[in-house]
Amino acid sequence: MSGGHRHQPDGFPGQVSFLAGIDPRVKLAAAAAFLVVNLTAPTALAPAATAALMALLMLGSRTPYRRRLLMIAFPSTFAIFVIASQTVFHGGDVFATLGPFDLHRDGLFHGLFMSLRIIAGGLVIVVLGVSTPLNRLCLALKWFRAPATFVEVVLLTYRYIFDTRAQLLRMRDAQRARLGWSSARRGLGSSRMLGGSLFLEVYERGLRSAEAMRCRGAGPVVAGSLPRLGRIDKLALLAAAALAAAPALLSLSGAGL
Amino acid sequence: MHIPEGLLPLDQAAAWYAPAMAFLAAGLAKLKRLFKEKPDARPLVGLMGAFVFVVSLMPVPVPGLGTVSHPCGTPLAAILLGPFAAVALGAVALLLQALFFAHGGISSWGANILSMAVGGSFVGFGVYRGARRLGAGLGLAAGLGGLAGDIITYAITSFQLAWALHGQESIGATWLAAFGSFMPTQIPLAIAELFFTSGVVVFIYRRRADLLAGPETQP
Repeated sequence: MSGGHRHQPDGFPGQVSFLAGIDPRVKLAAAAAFLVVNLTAPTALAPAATAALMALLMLGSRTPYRRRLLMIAFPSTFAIFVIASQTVFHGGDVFATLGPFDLHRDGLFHGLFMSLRIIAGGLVIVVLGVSTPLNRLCLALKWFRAPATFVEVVLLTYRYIFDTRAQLLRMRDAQRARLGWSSARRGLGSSRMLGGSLFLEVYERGLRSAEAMRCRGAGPVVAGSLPRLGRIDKLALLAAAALAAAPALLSLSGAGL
Repeated sequence: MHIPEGLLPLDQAAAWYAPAMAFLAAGLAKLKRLFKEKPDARPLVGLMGAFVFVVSLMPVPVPGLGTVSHPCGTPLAAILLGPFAAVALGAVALLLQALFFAHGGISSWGANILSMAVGGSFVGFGVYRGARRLGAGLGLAAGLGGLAGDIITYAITSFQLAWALHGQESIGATWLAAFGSFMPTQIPLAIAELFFTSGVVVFIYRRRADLLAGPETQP
């Protein structure tokens, strides 16, 4: 799996800002709180504030630019779709007509609100994902009493994603070097053989490495545990709780977040 | 197509979560039993999870709808490991995609599990098993399972989107609009999934028939 580490989605948290050093349990709890606030906010202010905070944290995380764009591409695309569909379907005053579609003012505002929620929610997850290596996230899941089988399958799947990717690239390079494109029919026929070969190659390698790991005493359950929360972790937890509770407190006081 | 974080209102997200977690719990129980009886099954399980992850992360833009389509991979996982185990693998793949690519979400995880993992696995496996019982060959039955699992995934996702976004239109009309928009890209993808699932199952049967241990896999 040469070069595999270079491509790991969470290959950079070790070299990033203070967020990477915060305990994953704190980050998981904070992310859950922000997601609930984002989903329950009656107006756009809380999602906007959440999006701004998460964007700042992401900028501070020193994640490569292309990676940031890639990660936010899906929520952004969907946000545009939601604005368009709500403007057409949601109803309200008609402010324009586009071909067979009436465009509604209320729908446009509702779409903008929902798209802000999608962007904010997406950014919360992105920040969690780029700042937490998966093994630490799994330790946090274990601490939160997630089923051991689930945690084990997450780690197994994660390991095989890189095995599959490495084998796929090797086979693609070999195909490029040896073969040219002949026809769609042949392409479909060879995809069956390539897909099957990829499957069996990775499976055989997996069997060998599982055997090797067993010989070295590796057990099936995720090893290790997280230390007690440090001072920085407790401060981060308090800050996240205060920030997440702010919209609820302000709306109770009539500020209407 | 995975529903992103923040799209579903909290009540709808909770409504999709409840059945999804029941299916996930059943799938994990099945995998736990499998690991206990056959510790060597771990590489196959990890590999199938990775396959579902990779296959369902190949985006194809949907013209007009502004979103993306992709194959599912869960029908193949269901044929190899059974539908309950495939649900657990689909759920894990969806979680990893949400965390590392913001493709999907955490609050929408339940909805995405129900469409891609539960719908894709059970319908794909059901069609495969039914076709085998009706005398179809292994490759044809597996391919039909892949095709049906793919289409049903998008039918369920379209319903979830319609429920969340219908506004003053009826849910039925919105469902039809969403499903219809997916079809130009999804039908070719479903046909590709038919060939891929069929080809991989036949290939595995020829080389490692022991990995296809169910009674439906006899040629």
